[in-house]
Amino acid sequence: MAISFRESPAKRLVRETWDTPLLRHLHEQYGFRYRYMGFPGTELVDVRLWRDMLDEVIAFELPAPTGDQRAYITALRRNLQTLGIRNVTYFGSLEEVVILRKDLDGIDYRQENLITLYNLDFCDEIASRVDTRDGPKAWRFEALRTIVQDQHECFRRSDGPPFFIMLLTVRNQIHAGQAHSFLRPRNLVAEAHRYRGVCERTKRIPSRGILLGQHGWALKTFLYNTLRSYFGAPNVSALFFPLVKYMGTPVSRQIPSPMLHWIILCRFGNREHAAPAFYPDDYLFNVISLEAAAGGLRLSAEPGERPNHDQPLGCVEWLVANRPAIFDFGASRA
Amino acid sequence: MPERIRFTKEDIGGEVLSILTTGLYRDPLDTLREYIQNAIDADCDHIAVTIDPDTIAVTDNGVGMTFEQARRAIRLGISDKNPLKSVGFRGIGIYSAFNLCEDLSIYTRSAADTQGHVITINFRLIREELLREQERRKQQLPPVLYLEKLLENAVFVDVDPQNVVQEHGTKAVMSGLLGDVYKRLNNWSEVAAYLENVVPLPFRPDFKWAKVIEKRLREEAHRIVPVTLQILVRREEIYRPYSDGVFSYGGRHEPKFFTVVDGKERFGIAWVCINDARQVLRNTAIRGLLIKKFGFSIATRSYLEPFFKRPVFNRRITGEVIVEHQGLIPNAARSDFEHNSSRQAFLLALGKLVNDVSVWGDKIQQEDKAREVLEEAHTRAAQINSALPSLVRNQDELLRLNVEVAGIARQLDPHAKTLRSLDAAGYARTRQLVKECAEFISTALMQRSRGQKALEQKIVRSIQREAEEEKKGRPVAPPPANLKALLEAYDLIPSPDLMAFLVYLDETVIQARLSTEEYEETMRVLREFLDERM
Repeated sequence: MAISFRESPAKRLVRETWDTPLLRHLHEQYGFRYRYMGFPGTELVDVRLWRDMLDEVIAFELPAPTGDQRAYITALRRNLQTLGIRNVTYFGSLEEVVILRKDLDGIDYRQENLITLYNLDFCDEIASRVDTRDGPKAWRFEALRTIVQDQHECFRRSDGPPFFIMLLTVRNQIHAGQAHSFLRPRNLVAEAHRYRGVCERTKRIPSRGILLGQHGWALKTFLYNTLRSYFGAPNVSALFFPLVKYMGTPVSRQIPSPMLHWIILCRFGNREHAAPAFYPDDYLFNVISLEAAAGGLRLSAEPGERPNHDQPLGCVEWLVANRPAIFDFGASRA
Repeated sequence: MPERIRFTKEDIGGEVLSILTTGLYRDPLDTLREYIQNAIDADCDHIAVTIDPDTIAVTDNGVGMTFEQARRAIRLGISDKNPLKSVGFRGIGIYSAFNLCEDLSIYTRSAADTQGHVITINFRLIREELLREQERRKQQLPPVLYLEKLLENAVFVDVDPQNVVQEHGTKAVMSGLLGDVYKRLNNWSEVAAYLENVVPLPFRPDFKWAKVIEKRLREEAHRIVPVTLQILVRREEIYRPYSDGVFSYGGRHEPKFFTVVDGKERFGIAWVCINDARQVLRNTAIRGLLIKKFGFSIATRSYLEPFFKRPVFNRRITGEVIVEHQGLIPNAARSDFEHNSSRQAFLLALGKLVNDVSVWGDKIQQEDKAREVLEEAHTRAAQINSALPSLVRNQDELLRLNVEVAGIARQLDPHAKTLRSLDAAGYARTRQLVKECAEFISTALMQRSRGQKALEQKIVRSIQREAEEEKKGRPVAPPPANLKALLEAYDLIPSPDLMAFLVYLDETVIQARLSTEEYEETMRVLREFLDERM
């Protein structure tokens, strides 16, 4: 059977020891159930792991690179049918389908219901372009803007809960020129601007070449800054969890796959929260990044991050220590 | 006597599978039907059908199969199912996906088992083997592919390590859909309409008679199987096509249930709803009665039309004839039942059913007609009643209304008996209203006639007086000397008894109690009174 994606041990560690405890905590303590949207891969590893908490899966799958192009999507659909979970599937990368509003079969894409759990896995460089029939058009990360807009539309016409979770994984790779361009002072909020200044003093972005795994702070700054701008208009407040670095399945013997992974807990504002707020304060400086390695998770500060040896290594503990009042999930079942 | 030939496995080529399935299942919907039939035969109470561009899944919560049952299910052209009790019984259906997909996996679990099982059929491999065999034939090489070997290599029954079916039931997953299969199935209304005809679906929750009919069907042990259909993004429960909207006024008549019987032979029951206006149903798709067995439709709704004396009647009703008779076996095309003695008896029972339906329908429609007449009569009578006071001096209009009110009364007459039983109070109220209108008009016309006559008399008297005065050289007429003279002078001639009484009253009471002057004054006052009135 076709398998679209083989995960690395570190990826599994992140899922099982970082993501899952949080999802399960919110499920068991506050009754969260999840409508999942993402790229689960033909083996549906995360869907199987979270099966009891999921109501529906909206899944995307790429064409197989060799042989029968439909092999992966067929396997994904067969496995979802076999699993017996309610699902909708699209043929194509999530970014392309979301941006182009059509999948490779020409099926229209439309978000029907509120998503409560995004698992957004940008295996390709996030600062690359989405190809269209008319040539390269949109930046891959712009899919995030569309996703937030679609989610906001659904929120407006539904009476669903205001909370949703983004699991965001990107390849720690960017062209130096693009990094310079995206991190121009005029593009950055004050916090990102300050952070960039501090980082540049210790680990400067070179003038050219591909930054592979060495400048995580640049992508961290860029994505934090980008998400804050995308969250502005739909009034989404966010709690950014520590950045987790890990090594994914290498592209080849010579090309490793350093990855960056975030959990972002989001909520739509109401009358009391007329403008979005972002937590923790001074996130870029104050929250130490983690690294997933053979022994488990450990603190692994990026440049500019202030040392804090008391920062918990467990996701739930971190949430308990850092949860702002705006993320009040109601009475705990415990 | 010819020598007996011994057939061996080498005598049955692999091509048989292709020939059978291609011939029987030309339309992907027919294949879908086969797996749904299996679900219904498995006594499930819910079916989910999911279709996307690469897979079709039919999931039921029926009794499922043990390993032995799964092993027997993969036999070709042999079935354990009883044709008298099950929809499918030819033993081909499991292979019907041959022209539809690359792989078929049937996950199943019997309630008695702790472990599920899975049947897998690799249709891609079968097709490849058949193509290779065709190539061999083209090269004039001897055949090597026999049905037994072909199936042995491509069909498996095994323990399902994933236990896909959690409790009991069956899930058939066809993956790697071929060619235009999805294009054919990506049509919600067509697939939903097809399923309506092959599954005993529930009624729409907003159909006002749904509960009544479902209750009766359950009492008769007829199954109702909910189906969830998902085609890519759209996912809905689907229902039988009946709704309040198919009737002219939202369906005012309760459904009627009939037993379909010929002598002692009972074939099933029928439920019938009739339009609440004497018109055909606007939705042509549901006009007439549909015959169903195990939820599967047999023929079309026009099948019973020739049985009606007035075919239009079949178009004013909708409903189903639900057959449970074991001798009635649907033919392969589902266009009729196999010809046998049961079918003959069934046709006779249908004749009787149609007669009963016609009698009932006729009564309903007579009642509808009576109600219509009563409503029209009451409305018009009320309008006339409110207009009458302003028309009291309009003799022409009164005469016209007099005719109309009589007509209303005549319209009510033929329905009197029906209306007394349907709505006695309403009928009495309308009758009273009509009567009051008629009386008012009659009185007004009579009063007008009397007034006219008095005026004419006054004129005549005046003319006569003028003529007499001229004849007498205009002498001053002496005033009447007593009451009798006064009455006679004004032509007021009462009956002799009354006159005698008045004379007695005048002479013994009035004249006796008044002085001469007072009496003359009284007579003058009376003259003035009469002058004014006359």
